[in-house]
Amino acid sequence: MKNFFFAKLALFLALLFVCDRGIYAMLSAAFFKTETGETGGFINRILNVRPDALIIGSSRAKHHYDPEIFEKALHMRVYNAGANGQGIPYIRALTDLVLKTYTPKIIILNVDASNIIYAREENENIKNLAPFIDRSDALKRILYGQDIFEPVKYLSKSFRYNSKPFAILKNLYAPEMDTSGFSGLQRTMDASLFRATPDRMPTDKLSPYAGSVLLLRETIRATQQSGVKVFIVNGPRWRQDNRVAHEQKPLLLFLQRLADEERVPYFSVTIESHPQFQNPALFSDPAHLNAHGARLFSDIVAGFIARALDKKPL
Amino acid sequence: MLFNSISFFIFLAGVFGFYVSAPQKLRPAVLLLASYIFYAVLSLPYAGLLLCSTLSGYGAALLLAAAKSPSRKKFIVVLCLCFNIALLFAFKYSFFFYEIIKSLVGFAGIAYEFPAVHILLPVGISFYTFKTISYIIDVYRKSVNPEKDFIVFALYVSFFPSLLAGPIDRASRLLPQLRENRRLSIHSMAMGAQLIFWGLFKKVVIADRLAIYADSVFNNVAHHTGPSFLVAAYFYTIQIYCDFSGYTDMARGVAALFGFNLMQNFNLPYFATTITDFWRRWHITLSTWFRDYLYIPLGGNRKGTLRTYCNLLLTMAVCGLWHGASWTFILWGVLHGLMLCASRATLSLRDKTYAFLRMPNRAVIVLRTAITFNIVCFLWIFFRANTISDALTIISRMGTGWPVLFVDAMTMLHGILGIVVLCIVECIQRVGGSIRESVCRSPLPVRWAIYLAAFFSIVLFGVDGGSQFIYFQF
Repeated sequence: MKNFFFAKLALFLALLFVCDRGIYAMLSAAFFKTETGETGGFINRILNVRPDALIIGSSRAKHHYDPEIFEKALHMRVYNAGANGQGIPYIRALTDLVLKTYTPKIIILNVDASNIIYAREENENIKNLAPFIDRSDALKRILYGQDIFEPVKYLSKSFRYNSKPFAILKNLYAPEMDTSGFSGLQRTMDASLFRATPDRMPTDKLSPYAGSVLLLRETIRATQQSGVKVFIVNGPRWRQDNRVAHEQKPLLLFLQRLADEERVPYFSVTIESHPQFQNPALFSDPAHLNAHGARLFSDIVAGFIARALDKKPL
Repeated sequence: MLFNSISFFIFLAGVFGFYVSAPQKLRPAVLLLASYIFYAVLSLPYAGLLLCSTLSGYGAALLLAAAKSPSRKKFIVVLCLCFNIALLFAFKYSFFFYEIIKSLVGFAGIAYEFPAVHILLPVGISFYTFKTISYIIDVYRKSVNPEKDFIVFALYVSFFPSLLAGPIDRASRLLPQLRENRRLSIHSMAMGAQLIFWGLFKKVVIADRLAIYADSVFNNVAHHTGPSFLVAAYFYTIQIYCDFSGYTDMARGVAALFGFNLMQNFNLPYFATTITDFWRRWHITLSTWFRDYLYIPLGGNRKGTLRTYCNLLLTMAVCGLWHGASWTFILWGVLHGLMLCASRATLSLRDKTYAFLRMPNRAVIVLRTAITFNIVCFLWIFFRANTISDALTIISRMGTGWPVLFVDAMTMLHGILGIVVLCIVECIQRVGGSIRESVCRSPLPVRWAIYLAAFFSIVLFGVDGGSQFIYFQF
């Protein structure tokens, strides 16, 4: 009786294994055909198109950097790989994936003060890149490092496609229009809604998170070793009093120091350094420029990078 | 150690292994040790509180049995009750009342610098103190004999499947099970495993998915309008049910693996036809606890209509307060109390109205169910909102901004499909079917296909890294 039970159990586990691999194979075949979508399809596009310049960051990269403006200024193919809710783990993982496939000429890292403190959301959202886990050691380390039992979940190959099946189908049969990754926000902020509650970062986590800082340094060194020119850029946030939030200033200084140590050009665009961004009409919300503000920001940053490249040609 | 974590399943496998290999006599001790390890992993110091509550109940029951005079018995009961209520008050409500005092002092214009106070709420304290309290009262009422075996009693209080969020099993039901030598059966284990999977499905596939949308609306009230509030309210209604009933199913399933039968805590609550009926189906162990140990001792419905309404209001206010030290929970409880009173007051009028309209019985049931569901959904707004001000903002702006809806397409698609599955399962149960029994009776290939479908639906559609169970915070 016991032997029969264990035989049935073994057979069931074998069936589980076969189904897991079968589902993984089907979803992989579908996923790697997609070229749009926040669940990682747009990364397939980047790896296929192989742009000369890549912009990587969070939603603030996605909505702030207009590739058309950069292409005119830099005379090269530019792609915006900004993604909502992502941070430095994403920057590290995507850079590693890209460098394993090809060598771009420039990588622009949009790094905000909020990226270098611990953010649970960013560590959760990196799982969007799970389908690429077998192609990037850095990504594997980041995903496995989230919890002591995280590697157990990835014993199931299908788990790489957790929460993705519907998105894969949607991107396969109804792909979004390709705008080189950029998404300009059309709304203009109603400043009166935010006068009483200006954009604030969490005040209980103000020190740089060692994990994020290490990943950022790794990213910079890996790109430099591959001969890629790296830039770090920080974008503006709107505040009613037209000042950078006091809790952000030490973090921006930290970022400046880190960039100096790693010999990376750092360009900070704030509402204090660039007063034109004190105009709420340029923002969709206190943390995001709208399409009009993004064009202005892109002009400024593209100009900075073009001048930096003129001084030190690629 | 969340129930929906890999570490819990590894822990469970280890405990099960030790349990089946231990001699029958030692099995309660194995489970007791496992329960304390389970709790100590969350917080070692607070395991001491659990032990204190256990010792108070155990000692008080034995003293009660030995006491001769009624006044001495009453004194022992009151002492034990005060100790456990004091534990609950100190760790759960002292900060709340401290803040009230600070506000009143400030309002009176008195300048005083209050020291900063930080008290961490011990997980599960609301549940295990209630178990101890119900035990001592039952011993006093002689509906249960005092338990002489400390290991068995301590296991009753700390049994790990129900330690953190219930069910609040009665001593008369659980103690005999823990005392006797339970035989493990494949059927019981299979049913238990099915309950665990169904509970996990409800939690990670439905509840955690709906939470993404509900949280984004409830946590950003200023940026949303009517349609989004309405959708978020309905989503939260399903979320809290799937979260809590999912946990309970997992707790009952884990207990069934070891051969124990925990009390059912939910009985299709959203099919309730009145608010009274809702409270007979929702968190049954808590509502019956309040009925037996607060509402009936206050007089219940035996002291006239006005007194009945007062008893209902007071009981529900305390029920709201039990859920959390916050005005939103108290208001939620009071509003449910008012609804209970209104339901009683208008029962005959409603019956006469339906009779006058000559509505078929089925139509009356459907109408009553729809009305009750929407009332409950409306009241959940107060439960979920971060502040009363937020709740009132949501309600006042429910009619604004139509038809613009905040859309998170993938989340909503996942959530709606999960709700469809839930509706199918519950409708089958509503008409008397038992899916679990049907599965157990099915041929092997069909059973395996169902298990594989359940497994991969959790792997592919469950929210990885979802939140802790809502009722853990109570």
